[in-house]
Amino acid sequence: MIDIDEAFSIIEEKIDKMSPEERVLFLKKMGFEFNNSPRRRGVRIGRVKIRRGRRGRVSPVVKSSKRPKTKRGYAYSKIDDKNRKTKATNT
Amino acid sequence: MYLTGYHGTTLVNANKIVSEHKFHTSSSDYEWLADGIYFYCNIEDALNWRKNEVVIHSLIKVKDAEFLDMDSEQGRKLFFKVYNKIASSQEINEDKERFSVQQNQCAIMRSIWNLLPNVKVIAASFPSIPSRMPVIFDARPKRREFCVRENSYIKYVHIIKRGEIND
Repeated sequence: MIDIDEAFSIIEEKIDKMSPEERVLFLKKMGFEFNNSPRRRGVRIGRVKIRRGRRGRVSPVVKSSKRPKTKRGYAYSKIDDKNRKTKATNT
Repeated sequence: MYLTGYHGTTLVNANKIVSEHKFHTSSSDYEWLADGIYFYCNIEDALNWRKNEVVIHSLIKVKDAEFLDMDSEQGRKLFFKVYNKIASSQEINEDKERFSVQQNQCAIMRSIWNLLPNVKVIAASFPSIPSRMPVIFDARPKRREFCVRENSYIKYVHIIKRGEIND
């Protein structure tokens, strides 16, 4: 069988040699897909940081100044508002 | 070294393969060892797969340095290292609804094939029955198969019909 340590050092060297763009292209060609959307990366849009894992709830087109904020400064959506009201009614 | 493999298929396809001495290469995003020609080590597994009517008994000639056994400790070590390297280099989409275990498996194996062009045959064992519920300890029976990169490594082919095999 092939020498595993040697094989891995070849693989590692080839991957490390690639520029970030080349690496993405290579891995996409292999069949992987990446989380590259701004929301998934947790980037700032306006003053509001869109939290990871809140995909589909927060619209980045709404200006941050017009959006109500929680205590921690994160944006919340109408769904959150609805949940909050429900919770308040229950208690 | 020589490897003995069994490739299950229909009689029509088997005759075509033997006359042309050329196997069709499987290449989809769901192939467990990525693109190549697949063989089972056990004749029963080849017959049971899709209830094939015939199997093609084949001899594959490969150099030691061209063979990678994923069942060995070293093979698993290599797979894990490559898996870690890829997972740490990019944020891989792990959306389970869109990407199945098979697709990720295929993508890692395809990376290994492409980064190690000297490798011509990869062997590994996979569960022979589908999973009914996810558990940590996978005790399902396994069957060993291997994937050959190119037709030129297959040196001998012979058709065996289902009825010819004695119990």
